[in-house]
Amino acid sequence: MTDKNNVEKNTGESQAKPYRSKKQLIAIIVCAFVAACGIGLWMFQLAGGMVNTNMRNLDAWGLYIIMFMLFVGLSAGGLIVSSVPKLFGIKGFGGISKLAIWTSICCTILAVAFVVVDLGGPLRVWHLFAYANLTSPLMWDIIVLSLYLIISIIYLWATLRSERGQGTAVALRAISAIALIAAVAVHTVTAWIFGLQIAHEFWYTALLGPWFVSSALLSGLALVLIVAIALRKAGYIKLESANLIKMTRLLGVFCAVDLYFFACDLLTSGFPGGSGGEVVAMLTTGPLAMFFWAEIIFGICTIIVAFTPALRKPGFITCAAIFSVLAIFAKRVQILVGGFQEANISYPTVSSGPELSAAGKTLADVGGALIYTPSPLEIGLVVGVLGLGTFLLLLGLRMLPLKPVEEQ
Amino acid sequence: MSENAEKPSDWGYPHLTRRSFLKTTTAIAGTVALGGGMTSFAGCSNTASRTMNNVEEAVKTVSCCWTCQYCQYNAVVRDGRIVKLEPKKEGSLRGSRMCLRGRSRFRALNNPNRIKYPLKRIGERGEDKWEQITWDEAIETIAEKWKKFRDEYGNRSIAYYWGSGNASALASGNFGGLMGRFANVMECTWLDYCTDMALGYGTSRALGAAASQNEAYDIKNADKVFMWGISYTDSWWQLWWPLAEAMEHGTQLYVIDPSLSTTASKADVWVSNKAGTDPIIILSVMNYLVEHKLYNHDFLLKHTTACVLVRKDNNMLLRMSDLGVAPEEGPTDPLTGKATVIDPPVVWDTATNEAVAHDKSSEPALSGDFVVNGIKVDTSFDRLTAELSKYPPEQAAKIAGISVEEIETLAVAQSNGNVYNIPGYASQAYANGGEFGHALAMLALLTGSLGRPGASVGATWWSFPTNGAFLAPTGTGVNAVPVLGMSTIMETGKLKGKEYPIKSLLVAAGNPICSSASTNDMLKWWNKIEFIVVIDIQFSDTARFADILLPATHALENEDIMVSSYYPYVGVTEKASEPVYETKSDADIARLFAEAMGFGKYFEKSDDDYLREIIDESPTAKKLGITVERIRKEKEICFDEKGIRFEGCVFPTETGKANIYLETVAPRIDWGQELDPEIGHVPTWFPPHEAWADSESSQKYPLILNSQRLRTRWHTGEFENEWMLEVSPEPTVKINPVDAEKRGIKDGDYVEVFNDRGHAVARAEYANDRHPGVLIYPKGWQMSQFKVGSWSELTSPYADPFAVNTSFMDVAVDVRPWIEGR
Amino acid sequence: MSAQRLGMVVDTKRCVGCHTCAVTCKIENNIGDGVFWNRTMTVGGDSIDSASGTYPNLSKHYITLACQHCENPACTRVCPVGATYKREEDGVVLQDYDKCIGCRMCIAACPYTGVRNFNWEEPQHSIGYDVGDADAPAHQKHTVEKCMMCAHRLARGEEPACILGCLAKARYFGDFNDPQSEVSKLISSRTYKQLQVEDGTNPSVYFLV
Repeated sequence: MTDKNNVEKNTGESQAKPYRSKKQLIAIIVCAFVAACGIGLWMFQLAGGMVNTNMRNLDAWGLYIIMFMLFVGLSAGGLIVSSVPKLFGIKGFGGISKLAIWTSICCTILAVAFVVVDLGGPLRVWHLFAYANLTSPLMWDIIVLSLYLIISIIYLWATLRSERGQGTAVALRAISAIALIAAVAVHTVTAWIFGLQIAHEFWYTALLGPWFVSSALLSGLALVLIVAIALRKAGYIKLESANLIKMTRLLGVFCAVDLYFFACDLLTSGFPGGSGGEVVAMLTTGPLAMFFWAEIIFGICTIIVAFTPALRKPGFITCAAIFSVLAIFAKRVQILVGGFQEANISYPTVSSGPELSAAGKTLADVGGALIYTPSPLEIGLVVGVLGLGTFLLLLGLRMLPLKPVEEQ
Repeated sequence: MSENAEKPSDWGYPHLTRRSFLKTTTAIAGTVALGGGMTSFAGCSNTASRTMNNVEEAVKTVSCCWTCQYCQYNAVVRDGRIVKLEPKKEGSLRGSRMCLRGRSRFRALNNPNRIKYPLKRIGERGEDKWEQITWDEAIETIAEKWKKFRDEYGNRSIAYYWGSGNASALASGNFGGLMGRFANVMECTWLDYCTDMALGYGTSRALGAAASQNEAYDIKNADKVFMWGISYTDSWWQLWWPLAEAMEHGTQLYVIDPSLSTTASKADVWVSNKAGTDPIIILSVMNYLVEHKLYNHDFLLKHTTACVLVRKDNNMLLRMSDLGVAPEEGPTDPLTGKATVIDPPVVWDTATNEAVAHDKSSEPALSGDFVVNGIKVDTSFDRLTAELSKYPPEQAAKIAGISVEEIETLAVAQSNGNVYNIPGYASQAYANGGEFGHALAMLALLTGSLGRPGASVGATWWSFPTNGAFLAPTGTGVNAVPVLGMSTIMETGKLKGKEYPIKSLLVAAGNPICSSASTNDMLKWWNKIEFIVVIDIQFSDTARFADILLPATHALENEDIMVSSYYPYVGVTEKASEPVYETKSDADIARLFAEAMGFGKYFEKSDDDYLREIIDESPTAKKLGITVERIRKEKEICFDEKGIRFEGCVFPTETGKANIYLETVAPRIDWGQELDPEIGHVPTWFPPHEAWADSESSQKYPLILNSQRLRTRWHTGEFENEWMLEVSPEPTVKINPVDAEKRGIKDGDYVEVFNDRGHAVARAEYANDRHPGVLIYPKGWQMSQFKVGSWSELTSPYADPFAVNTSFMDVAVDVRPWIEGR
Repeated sequence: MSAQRLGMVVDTKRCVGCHTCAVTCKIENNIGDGVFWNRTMTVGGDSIDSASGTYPNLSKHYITLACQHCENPACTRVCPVGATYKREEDGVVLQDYDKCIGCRMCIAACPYTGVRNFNWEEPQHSIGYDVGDADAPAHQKHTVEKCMMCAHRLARGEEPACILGCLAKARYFGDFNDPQSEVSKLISSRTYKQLQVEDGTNPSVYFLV
């Protein structure tokens, strides 16, 4: 196979080329099918009504927004991981930055997809541009997310150009800077959708912005690690252990920072002994306890793996990375569901709005009186969107020259 | 602040979207004539209308037809369908605004549960399997059977039960309308529904007629209001705002109620007594008043028979004939056709020291032993105080579960100022309910708190005195038999020792299988009746047990005149919707019956003419110039601006004075029951039949079962109304946590309430608003709405021999967690 | 002409928790099955109509809860398309069904639990036809709705349906910017409380206690 580019950088390696394999093709087809099923479920949700989710008036958001938060974080994190080394001209993590950017772009698209799937009137999406209300954090997020997607694509394009010898290093650094700022902004603004709402004691904290960024770093880096290790195993990339360990240590640091923020928030809630105590109880011993302790335990495991040399082997590292993503998923669940779990006004009254279906009630019982647990439709639709994401990721690997090129 | 690019339209909505008003619906598929345009309603010349957004709307004046308040309001009609009911813009005569039941009652018109056609039972009674038949076939079948029964068993073999469901001049409720006229012409047996009767019976012992409240707005003149076992905020809601307003201006509210009702939660004083102990509290209050001479001496002398002498030998009143004065003949009694006898009772005149006729003394003796013509006597007042001496506060308080201070507080508060005593139907729903009414009326007499503005005793009720002749065109009438006696009557086939076969039953405007006591007992005698016809609008419990079911129109589908309310008014209810399917009005069904039974000539006139006969021909209407035409034009007319009951303290008794001592105590209905000759001359105390720690039933079933008004029902009405079901979705029972924990019942569990008579499964709700030992169930649920059983299975068929009333509250039960399939 | 500040006063001394205002609103606005824009709440024990305290020292009262038409609404800030907005001339917070994209951010932002309803399916009307006022806007699936102070009635110079509907005469309506209005006089002469005051929304509904 000949490369398209004949220009060689002073590397000893061949130019980046797309990754193709038969297994990959099959995977792409399967993912396309899953994505198509997802679209089918989405049509069903729109026609049959969102009553087929388990979201209700008392908990208006659910799995879709949880996944939205998670994927904004994953995408922001990946991009930060990629752009920081470029920006500061330090040796990166073995040149996997293109992968990181592509992963990030896929995650961004998924995040947008989750929001669209959550909308009651997706055909009215154009209202966002025709009637934009600029005081709305949701509007800010849509603007920043759109810009961020564009910037990510430009960033990838710039990176590829730079590899081919086009474009200046300064330009690339500039774009890296913009990408970094956008990445930080995107998740801070996402945090503000929750953190600026005085209606929910659990959400209303200044810490939420920085905290979401630290969660983004943790989960984003973890995802990049997972993808990188997987592709390394598949033989697509070479990843030196040193770089791997560097990233793993960084993972541990991000995890520690995230847990630090968590501890600050818990202490602040619980210390005065007032209504914040109910929030702490809800998390530690109440309906959300499962997610709370999962996050803590996964986090601690990650830190242990990150800072125990003996454990910094690909297998353990993959585990730790998966734990990290799950920990942040658990965090997202706590935030979303926890915000709705304790109502501001809960005097006895007649119910308004549909009740949970029988299946939903059973699920809720399993969750221990959680105000929300996802319905089969929501889970199916999420799987469909994940299928779309994987489809895009694999397609990118197949069509784009994302293989790392050794740098000087 | 958001910037909205659009400017609001005239209506304030930038994108007002028109609805499609002519949605076709499957729910009323197959309907005849329910679409398009305004229909002209016969007999209604005053159809208000308005046009909004090119939509024609008609506005009709309609009234509720139930025995709460008969509120009058507007029905807005669009495309021939009622789209909302709302208060009249010009207000109503006493500011009434209807409640959520009145608001939403038009849901009944096309409810899937509506009875659409005449139906004949196939399968067993209660199986709820029906075959549609024509009206002709239905009437033929009914007439054939009735004629046969009357020939073979006599006219009384046909029984008629009416409820309070659809009560207006022409409709059947409260023994009204052409159906009542038909029942009289047919000389049916009338099944007295024995519901809420003890109160009126008891008060009438003292006052000569059932006590009732002054016109509702008069409450602003009261200084103190005492509510005995009643919660305005749960039953007669329209009376709440006048009371609230009075309280805001200084009126004090005392509530005597075992549980903290919403009214009690707003009261100045709440006395929480044991269930069924109101009589002994009132008796003790009177004891205190007598002890401390706080009674109204002048009132007793002028307006009561307190001074009338009572013979110690036979406990009859001493009369002029005992003094050797021959009785005179008085005017003819229109009911019996016989001449009345005038033989005045006697008092002891302290001025002349001799016995004189009761109206001939200016200083009669209130108390004392005398000998007149060799006969030893004392006064009526003495008889009362002798009874009262049995109830000093120390003892009464213990029995009633309250404190001595509370009795004293009540007594002192009763003794001065303008006092309202308002009894409810809860306190009279025990075996001692008659005594409750009797004692309360007596208390009002002791303090003189009735017959003037701001002073009243009784529950609310005002009826326009219609032309009685309408109901009995042939001079014949029904024979009243208590529904509580039907077990015995159907079992023995006898009434008062004579053969009394009942072969057929007609039910209209009522739901006895749900609203009467002890369903399982009831069904035993119900199923001994050969042929049962039920007229109803919905498939209620009772409808399901019919042999022939006749579909009635809803009150909103007829024009009629309302003749009862909580204030003295007579009003119109206009036809607001066309009758659906093959429904017929109560009046038309009566006509069909009459025609088929050969009495057609008494039922020939139109609704219009009969209304005139009922209203215009009545003496009151003639005096006040009230006509149906005027009512139609003015919508509502007050027929007693002052609205004071027993005004001037003139009582419909033999002497014109209220009875302190009742000489002859008749039961409410005499159906041959055994009577204790000692009971009833003065009010007395005896405990409830079951709901009492010492009772036999309590040994097995230690909890008391009391009912409560469900906010979304008037009795059982609106049970099928989906809007009401959204507010109250399922049967519940309130249980004190102490009782619940003892039985392993958690808040929200499904529980089975049970006794020997039956059971009911409902969702338990923890409630601490009364002391342990009592379960409270909001009532009005149909059998089909329970998982198992129903409330009416549990209630008691025991009837106090005098009051002959259903003691709904007097029930002993126990409760346990419900295990499905037990 | 200064803007009005329309709002309501509910006298909890009079309110008996009968749900009539809730049903009135529901019918007037042709609200779908299972949904209420206005509801009666028991301030007492754990179930409807229950009391707090230990027998016999018990107490309970009622409030009604619907959109508070705040002076400083949390919802209008966050609606990305301005489908919920506060009308300048009278302060009524309105909902434009045609604009709403169904993101439910307003529900997440509003401190008053349950006052906003999202139509999770096509609104059903078991009665089979549209009831209520001819001018009440049609409901749409997958949009958010709430009390709009019967703006369709305000446009005709009438008060919201629940005001006249209250049979305890416990509800008052008027302009708080007019010191002579009944509502202004009520809150200046009687003790009142408001809900979620700590959230700074400055609601236009006052509860007389």
